[in-house]
Amino acid sequence: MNGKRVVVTGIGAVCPRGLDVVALADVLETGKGARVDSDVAGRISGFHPERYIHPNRLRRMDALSARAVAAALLSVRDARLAEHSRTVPRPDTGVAFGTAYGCQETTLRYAQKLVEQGAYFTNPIDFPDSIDGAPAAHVAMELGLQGPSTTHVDGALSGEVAVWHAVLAIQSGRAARMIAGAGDTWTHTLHDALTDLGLVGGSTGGAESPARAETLRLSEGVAMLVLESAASAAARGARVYAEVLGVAAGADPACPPHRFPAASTGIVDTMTRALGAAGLGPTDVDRISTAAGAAPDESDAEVEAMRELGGSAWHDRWVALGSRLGCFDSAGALRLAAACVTVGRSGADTPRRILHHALSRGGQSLSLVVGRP
Amino acid sequence: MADVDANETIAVTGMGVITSLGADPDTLFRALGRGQRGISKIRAFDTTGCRVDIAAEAPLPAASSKPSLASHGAYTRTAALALHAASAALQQAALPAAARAGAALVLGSAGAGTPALEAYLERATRGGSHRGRAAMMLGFPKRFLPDVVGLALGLGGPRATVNTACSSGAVSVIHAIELLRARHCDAALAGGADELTRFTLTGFCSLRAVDPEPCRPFDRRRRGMTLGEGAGVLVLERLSDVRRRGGRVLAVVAGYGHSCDAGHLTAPDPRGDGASRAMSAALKMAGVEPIDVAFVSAHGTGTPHNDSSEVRAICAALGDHARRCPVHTVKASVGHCMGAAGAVEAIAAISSLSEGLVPPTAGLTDPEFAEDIDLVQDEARRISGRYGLSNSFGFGGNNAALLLALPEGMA
Repeated sequence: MNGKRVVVTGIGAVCPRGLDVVALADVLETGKGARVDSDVAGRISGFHPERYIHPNRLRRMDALSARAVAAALLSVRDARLAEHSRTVPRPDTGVAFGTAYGCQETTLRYAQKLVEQGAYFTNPIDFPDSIDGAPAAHVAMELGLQGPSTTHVDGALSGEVAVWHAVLAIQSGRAARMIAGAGDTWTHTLHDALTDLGLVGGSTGGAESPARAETLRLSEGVAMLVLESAASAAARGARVYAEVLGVAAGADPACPPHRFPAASTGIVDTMTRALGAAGLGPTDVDRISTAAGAAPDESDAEVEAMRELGGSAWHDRWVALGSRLGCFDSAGALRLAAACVTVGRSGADTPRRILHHALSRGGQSLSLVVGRP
Repeated sequence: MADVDANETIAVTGMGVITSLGADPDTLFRALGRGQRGISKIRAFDTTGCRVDIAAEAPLPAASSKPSLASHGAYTRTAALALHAASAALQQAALPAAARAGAALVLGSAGAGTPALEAYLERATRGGSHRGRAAMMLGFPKRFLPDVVGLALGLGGPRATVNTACSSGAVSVIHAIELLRARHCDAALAGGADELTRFTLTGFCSLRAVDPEPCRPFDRRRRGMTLGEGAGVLVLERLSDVRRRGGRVLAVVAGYGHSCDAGHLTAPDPRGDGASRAMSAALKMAGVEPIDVAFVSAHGTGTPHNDSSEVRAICAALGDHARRCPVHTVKASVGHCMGAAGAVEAIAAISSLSEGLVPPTAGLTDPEFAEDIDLVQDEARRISGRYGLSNSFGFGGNNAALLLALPEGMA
């Protein structure tokens, strides 16, 4: 890679599987083609945010913000950085957070009052915590991060775009270190709406093949990564999970907002450019983590793209973790976290380079290559 | 992987805007120059129960109606505003076909989608078909904003949707610049859009952040902001590419800064430290001294805390020059356009540079900070100089500053 190399040195996650991202990666690694593990997708339980956030501040926080703060703190600890807190300002460190639906619990509570009882009865405390940027703001406040703070609301690409923004912020010198990731929360309202639209269904996960995924469980979770320059990581002797080797994104300009792309052209293009940025060819990646499996109405465009680009070499290299993680748009951050854990392992038969692909309705495609440092 | 080339100058080659005072940059700037206000009684929704019933609503031209897009359910009023601005900007830039086809689209919005959520909840309260009300949620996710604009304009490059609240428009420009500098695209449309919503109005009213009268930024009697709506989109390209193709350069983004107070979810840092860091970073990136700044387009919401914090930040960033550098805000004229504000104000700042004129801050009759900064009031002020600084701040202590400049030889 030319220029400033960016690496992942810490990972934190809060998901239905728990807080252990290494264990999550193990679960995702195993059982390829098998039925979905019931404890990966679904709702988060047994999470105690008061272990990470003072109860006085936690009282107002939306569940998404609390989980984002916890995941960020876990990622910082995992990176073996000095403890980050409100009292130690860090102007060289920023946060990039992605979310498809934002702080739903608080937004819904506020909107419900507004609709049912009128403006006079809305709670002023709810409004600031209802904004999409609240999780990033709380992460910045709780960890003292005074560098750039951004929130990306890009549906199924939310996590990937946030990580991409973080990589650019480090490369441009705007930040020495970024904590980036994404998350979403389960709510009855979203569940009802997606069920009514036929986008989620039964209590079991979907099948491995995107074409056969018929029912998906609405899930939730947050994953955060610590990103920094390779030089910075080396200087402090940090353990490096993975290096971000290449990123490329594009969109199918003819794809309607609520549909997945029908043509594979755009996907082939982003995968090719991401591999090219990494200085790799299709046969140089050991695994392709596809976007497939996270929605029942996906097109076959991604599968077609992999056939076109990887041919028979990719036949047994692709995995579809979406159905295992359940249906939530920002699950890509968890997939990416698991990919970083996987390439960071030293075993001879573990993948060294993974092409991570994300695809959203509206035709957006983003490919990201991570590799063993 | 390609690095971000910080030496690559980024040019503005197209601008599109829509606010209560005009649906193109020239009309807007003429109105601003006259100190006009586009603030009136709210027509978009029932304001019963709100402390405030005025705002700066943007009349959408009839041509903005797009029946073919409306069928997708995501063609909201915010999307229509964004599309109006993006179409105009794209037309002015006259991009080569390949650059247009691969152009990135980075749009910011703070409140897009909340009317869809309200409609869904209202229908849920009243009952009715489940699927019918679920379809209303299709307009809720903000990511549909670039998808609708991209579909309408045939843009196939990377897309991103930014929500850093009221700094979204400026942060979108920063993200787009870095995409260009890392050569992820050859052109980028960046900016923001927001419609006036009941959710946003009641939210800011509940925080007592809205003035029941038209706002008076930097005035001793200021009591809060006036909400507005609109969109602003800039077409950005690498300057070297524009020169190669013989395109017209309207301005360059000489520098930018982005920081976070990390102090409070709604209140700005009273000392303005974070905002000052963003402004100083923009100057440093451009290698520009404070004395070279011809004017500051302030965030200037008109809330007591924001204005005093921003004055301190300007003083810290510009030092002694703060007392001689003209400062104004357009929010007293077009309201606070939320996620669009950063882009709308960057466009007005570029007009200021090219016209050599800084509009007055409407409604400013009793300036509070006259000893600290040089507030432009009553009438437009002639300026000379190459650089204008545009500030945008948002909830969460989010601070963005864009240093805009005329291309060399045009100042």
